[in-house]
Amino acid sequence: MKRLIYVLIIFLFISSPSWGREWTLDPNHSVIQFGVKHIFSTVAGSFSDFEGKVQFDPENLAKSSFDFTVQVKSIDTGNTKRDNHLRSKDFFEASTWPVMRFKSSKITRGQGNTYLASGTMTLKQTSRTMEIPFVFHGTAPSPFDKKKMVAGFDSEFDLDRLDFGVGSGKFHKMGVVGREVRVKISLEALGAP
Amino acid sequence: MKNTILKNIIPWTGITGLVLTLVLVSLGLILPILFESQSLYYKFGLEKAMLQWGKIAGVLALILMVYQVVLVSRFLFLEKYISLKRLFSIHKTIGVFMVLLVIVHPLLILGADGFGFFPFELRYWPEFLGIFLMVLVLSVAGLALWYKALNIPVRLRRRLHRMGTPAMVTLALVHAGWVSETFDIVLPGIWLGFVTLIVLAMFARIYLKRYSKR
Repeated sequence: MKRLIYVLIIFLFISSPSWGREWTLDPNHSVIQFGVKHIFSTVAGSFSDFEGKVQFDPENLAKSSFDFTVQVKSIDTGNTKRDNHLRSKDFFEASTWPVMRFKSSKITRGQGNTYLASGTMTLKQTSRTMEIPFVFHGTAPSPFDKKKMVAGFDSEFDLDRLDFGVGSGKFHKMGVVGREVRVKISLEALGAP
Repeated sequence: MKNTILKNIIPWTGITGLVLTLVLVSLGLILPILFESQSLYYKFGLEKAMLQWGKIAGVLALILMVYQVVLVSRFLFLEKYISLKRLFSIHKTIGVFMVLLVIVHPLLILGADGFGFFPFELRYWPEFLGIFLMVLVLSVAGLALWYKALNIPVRLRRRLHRMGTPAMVTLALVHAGWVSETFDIVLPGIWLGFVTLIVLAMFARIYLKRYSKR
């Protein structure tokens, strides 16, 4: 009898949500985009190769986290010459620093469905603490497969590329390329019901 | 030695030949400088010079390729003033210079971006075509120079050379047209289109002459 109680306790411990709800990123319906000033216009681009671990439960933020890795060489601004230049040591130096990463350490709730993910952004050889606001759109059963749940997130924030050494500042001083980069992330993730 | 080299490059002696050669070479030098692509705006110092000279090497290699086709097109007026033997000797010498330019061109272009290689994506097809072209040029040239050492019969060498060279020139024109923003500009674009038509016409003439005899 005692043994049965112990087994039940262990089973309850294992099955209880001691971590945030785990979601699998859907790369086909997730985008990481950015825009940066070029003289007057805004040049837009995206990163097509990224992966992430999403653990999110609005009822259990303490155990929720985001951990994203982006392959820098997947940058695409619609111009192959510009993309090659961005991968060079003038900007990302992708051959030496092939990935950029954001790992959250804390998630706090804002107003309504807005949240704030505090964590470390690592780009090239620089790691900095950042607070990234995001909107959690909630969850819903997938219209294609009721056995799967879909969660949606959107985020928009600014990042100073020179803080991370993406560029030496010469193009900024010339008035050619802005230093603030507007990042827009839209994610869909799949999980169990 | 100098006179021999010069004689093997300039088919016509005297002022006419010199002027013609200078015009051809100048075109190769002028096009990337006068009609600068935007990629040069973002380069400074040594990197800018490397990119600039890499483009010049590419255009020069293309001009020499077209020049090669003229030399072997069996134009009667050329054979009248210069012997067939000498024309083919010039063809070989120009071929060596062309190979050197084909090797230097990607080294300078990629070197300007720190030899960072682009990802294997379809949108980089003009660049990948360039790599294939370099391999083709080196193969055609290697075969032409060392066919005896490779124990390749003369007839087979000639057949392979005649198959490889039209492909080489056509692909070079496609590569140039699509890889460089210089040829997006009207005048250079028209120039490239005109050269393409001339080259295709010369090849058509060569093949018609050759196969109508059979």
